[in-house]
Amino acid sequence: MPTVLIVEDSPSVAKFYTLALERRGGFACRQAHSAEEVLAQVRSGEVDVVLLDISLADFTYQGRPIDGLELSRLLKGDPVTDKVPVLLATAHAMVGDRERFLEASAADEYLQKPIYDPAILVEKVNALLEKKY
Amino acid sequence: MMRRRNYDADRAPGQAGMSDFLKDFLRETKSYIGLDANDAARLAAVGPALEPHFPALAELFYRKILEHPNAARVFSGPEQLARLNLTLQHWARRLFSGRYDLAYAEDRMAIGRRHVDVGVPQRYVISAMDVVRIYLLEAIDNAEPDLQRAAAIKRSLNKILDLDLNLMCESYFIASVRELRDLNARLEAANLELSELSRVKDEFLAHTSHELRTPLNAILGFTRLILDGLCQSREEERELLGDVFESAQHLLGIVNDVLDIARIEAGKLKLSVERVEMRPLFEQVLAVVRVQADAKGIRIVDETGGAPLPPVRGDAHRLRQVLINLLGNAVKFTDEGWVSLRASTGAVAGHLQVEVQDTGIGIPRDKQSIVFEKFKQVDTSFTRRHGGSGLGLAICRRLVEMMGGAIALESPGPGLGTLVRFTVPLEAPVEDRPHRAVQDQLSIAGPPQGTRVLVVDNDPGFRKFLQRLLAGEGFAVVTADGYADALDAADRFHPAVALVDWVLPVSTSLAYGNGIDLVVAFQSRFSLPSILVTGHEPERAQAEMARRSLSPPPPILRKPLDAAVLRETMQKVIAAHTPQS
Repeated sequence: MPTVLIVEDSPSVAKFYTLALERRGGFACRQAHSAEEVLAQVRSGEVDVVLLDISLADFTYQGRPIDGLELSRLLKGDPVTDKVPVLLATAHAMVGDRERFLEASAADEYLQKPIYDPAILVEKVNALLEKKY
Repeated sequence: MMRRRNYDADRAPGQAGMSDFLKDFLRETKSYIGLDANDAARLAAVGPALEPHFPALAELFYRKILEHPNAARVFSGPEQLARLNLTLQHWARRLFSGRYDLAYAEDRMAIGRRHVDVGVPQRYVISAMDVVRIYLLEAIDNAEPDLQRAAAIKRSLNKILDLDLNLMCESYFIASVRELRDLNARLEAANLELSELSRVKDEFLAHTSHELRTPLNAILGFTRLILDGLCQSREEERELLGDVFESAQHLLGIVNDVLDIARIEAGKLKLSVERVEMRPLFEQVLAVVRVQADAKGIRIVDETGGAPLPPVRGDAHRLRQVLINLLGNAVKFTDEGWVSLRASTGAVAGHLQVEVQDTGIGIPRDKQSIVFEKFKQVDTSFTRRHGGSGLGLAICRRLVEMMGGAIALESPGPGLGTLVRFTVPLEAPVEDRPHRAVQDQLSIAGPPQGTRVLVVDNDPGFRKFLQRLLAGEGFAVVTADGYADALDAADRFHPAVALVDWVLPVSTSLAYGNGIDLVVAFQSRFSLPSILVTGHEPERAQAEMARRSLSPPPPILRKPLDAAVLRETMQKVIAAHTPQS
């Protein structure tokens, strides 16, 4: 059973992702609430896809604030974790945001909130898993 | 007309390159006019014969100048007139000197520059030169009996006068180039300000869009899960519906904030001002906020229970909104400790002062001034901890000001908590009693049936001056020296227009009681139009005015007041405010 790591600061949105991915896609879901936790979980090799929000309230890395874009770059810059696909999910949805964010984060894919259809979410994650293997 | 040279705007008088410019200008103008060595010799030869005419010419000329409305500003006494007379004779003598070199041109341009500085329009210079021309042509006819020789001298004279006129008018041209350059600079600055405004609006739109999408994600996602039958029990369905409800409420809050600020900006937010008892309001609001505080383990300290609170004049619904906002913020930005609510009279004359203090994250000093501005949050980065429309405090400020109060914030710095205090006018200002005794009987100057004017100024001399001036013109005048008095007088006297001084006495450390606040309160509470009067730079008042949503913005007059301008402005304001029948 593939495992998705959910990194999202809104508890209700994280809850929706978990339910949607578990029930519709049959994935196992985990959550992380600090940058160090994210890096450790992905390094452990137990995570198959990272679903990552860009605005991360309260997230710190080495004592300073960090956002999803930088966290994604950290993952993509580490040879241990760079093969794990990163799916950016964000409510920043102005014209040009998609290109800007994909470039700034080195992430694999981008989804614009509101993401409310479990089927689409599962489809995106599956597509990334195929790409990985 | 002479060919207009390409004028290099950077080569203005006084700067390097000016004398090169002037040399070229002189050479070109001379050749265009056809002024040569023969003319110079002819003029030099006739000079001595004309010398006796110069005093009379000077006399004639300066009488002409004195007709100009600006002349009084410069030629105020006989001494200055005598000096002008000598200057003009000197000028006439140089006209016939035969030496028309760079020094001559500089002298002429300097005269032109003085005219520009004094504010004499160019057309006056041209017509004054015509007076000179006619006088001198006649003088030459008298001095030179030979008709042919007289004609030749007159041709030369016309040429030199043309040269003079060109030199003087060039000063006007240079001045207008400068003016255009200044205007351009101001336009560029305004443009910059506009693009900054547009950038702030774009940012606001992006931010609002983000804040709307997050609760929408939960609402749409959970309902989709339920509709798709992905819930495992009725209980789980109910739980998710609870989440949906909470997110929808959050969304509604953001939408309301955005609509409020839009309405305030458009000047469309109307208050229903009435007598309000604060006690029940405090209790309602504290009950709401306690729920949020309990969930975070923060203590709510109600310190408003001491002495009975006198009623205030305000909009109960909007006061509740302000309190919810301030207390909600305090809870949101505090992780441990307490949030305290206090209320007192006596700190600010005629007002109830409400304080909300917390032990939360505080605000860095350099950000304390921007938090009341709309679209501004202390931290707009992606790592920002606290969501929200970013409009709450901006809305609070506008609402408090519209009710005739003021709002301010203090924080010793990050991590050290925040104190927000605001004021709202009392229904009957108790501690203002000695003042009210005087004001209880409104003292009206001028004919009581005249158009009613309220004069608000803390300078007794100026107040008296305006009172006399306006009463003399048939207005019914009531004066007030401060904020509370002015509101009281407006309430009871029902003036058609108010004259408000920008700077009014400040009674506490709060920037409270500024004349612009009063203008805002007059408009929102009594629909009373105002004229702002200031002894300071009107631009500053204008800039501050622009930050308030006043439509139409009140005219600004600068002290000393010109009686005619004041009368005209008052008529305009009253006429614009009177509904057309």
